[in-house]
Amino acid sequence: MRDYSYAIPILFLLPAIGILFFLQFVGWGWNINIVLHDVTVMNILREWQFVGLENFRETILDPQTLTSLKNTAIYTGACVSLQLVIGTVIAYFLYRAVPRVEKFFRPMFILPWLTSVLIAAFGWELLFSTDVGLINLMLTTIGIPKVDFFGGSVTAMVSIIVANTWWGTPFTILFIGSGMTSISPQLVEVSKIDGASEWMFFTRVAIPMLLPFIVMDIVLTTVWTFNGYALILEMTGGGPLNATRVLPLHAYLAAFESGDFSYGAAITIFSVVITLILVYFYFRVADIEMV
Amino acid sequence: MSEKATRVMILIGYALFSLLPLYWLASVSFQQEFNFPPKPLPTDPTLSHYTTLFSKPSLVVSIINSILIGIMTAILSVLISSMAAYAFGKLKFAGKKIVFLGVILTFLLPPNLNIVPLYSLFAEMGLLDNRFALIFLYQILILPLNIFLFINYFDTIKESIVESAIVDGAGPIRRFYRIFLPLSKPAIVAGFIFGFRFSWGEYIFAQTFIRSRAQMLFPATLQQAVYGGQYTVNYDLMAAGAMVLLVPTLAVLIFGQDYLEIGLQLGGVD
Repeated sequence: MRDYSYAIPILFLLPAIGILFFLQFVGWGWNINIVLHDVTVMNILREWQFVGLENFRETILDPQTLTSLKNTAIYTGACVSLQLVIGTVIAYFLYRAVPRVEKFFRPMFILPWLTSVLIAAFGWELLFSTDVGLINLMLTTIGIPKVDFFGGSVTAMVSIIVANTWWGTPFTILFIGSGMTSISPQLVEVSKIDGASEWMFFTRVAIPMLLPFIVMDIVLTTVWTFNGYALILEMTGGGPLNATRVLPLHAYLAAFESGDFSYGAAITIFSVVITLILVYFYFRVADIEMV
Repeated sequence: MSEKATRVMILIGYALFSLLPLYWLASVSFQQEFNFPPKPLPTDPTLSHYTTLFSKPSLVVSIINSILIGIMTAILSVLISSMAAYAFGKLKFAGKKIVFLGVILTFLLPPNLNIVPLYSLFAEMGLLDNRFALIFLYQILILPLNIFLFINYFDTIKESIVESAIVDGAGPIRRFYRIFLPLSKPAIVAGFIFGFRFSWGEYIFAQTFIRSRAQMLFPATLQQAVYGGQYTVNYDLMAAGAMVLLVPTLAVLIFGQDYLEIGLQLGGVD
């Protein structure tokens, strides 16, 4: 080996890896630093007082933390299941469609995923609105009184789940769809000749073949739904009465609305640990192609 | 035959669901008044909400800021992710696997998760309220995806071209900017689109890290303008603003779909 064999890779890697690892891993380290001190919006740039594990005690004893965990489980569970079922079915139908039909529908299906999270939030806020809501218009047309979707805790949760499903399902369509390209079309024909129905082919052949993709998809959508609180922050702000306050949003609001950064950092650690456990399952299943 | 008809019906149904919020944003953006019941189709369409939007200096400034930051974020991302991809894909060095594992981990972990420590870190570095700091911050959203994209694209470049360059005496740095980069135009365009898209639509960091009007990006200013009144929502700005926010996405779908497909396929998504 010539001596430049280290200098050159480092030169090429440094800008990207430096930024990436600084923001991610130095961020984690700094987070621990914040947790061990008492940091608020008042003293963020001044001296911090060391408080040890006091912030963890505070977060664990806070009933809001438990509420957030419960909300997170409901929200993530519902969103991931809906995205998986709808996404897999749509991906399968696209796979079975003739190329012309597939080409026609695909851009429409990807569109929500390409839009800003703010568009997803605004669009569904308008649809569910009591003033300009199309959904309330339809309800009143069939004789059901108007529903204040963002006023009730259950309906608010339903609203954000619908919006997230709209926004997130295209990923599953793309991801499971890419897995389906490995199922040869002849297989469908052969099983048809053998007398298998469409449903039997889907459940007995396609799903088992796609299993690794499905598991990876579940992990990815869980991690992203779990942490993707931007939509909720915009649509409900965690309300009404904390009914849609999920764990990472709990951290965000603690830090940036109540000004308690140490509290937010403690919750962040919970979120990171939960996420890392999920990611571990991803690595167990995914056959990651190492360069 | 009926099985096929059911399939098509479901595809149409899902297409309607996909388009519904966008249709409704468009429809509301042209409506005169916002009293219940709304009209499914605007009967007397007006452009006045767009005029209102573009007559607010803070919104216009933030649109320009967003375009500027989006372009700079995308260019930086393409430049440094192609370099990193070249090192991962085409150079040999010890510790490659562990570094690459870190990149995958960063891809899997959503950046929103780190917002509390990053805010404090940026405060320490004096980078708060500086729109140019977002160019670096946004790399965390884009770099992993673009690195995967370039690794996969570089693999499609023929070995024979690379080998003849080696015979001609081109070293690893020269091979990168004389062969790999010039031959990767589709990946560069796709990477640019990804970079711009993430930066353009992001609003959590934009809203939290930037406070002064002159520095703000469009999603953050729009969000504030929509909730300008304490208890009222400005539906006019909400709908018209969302349509403006949608323009780059639609432009990509209409003019850049081939590049988008390349990006989705090679970015490891598809």
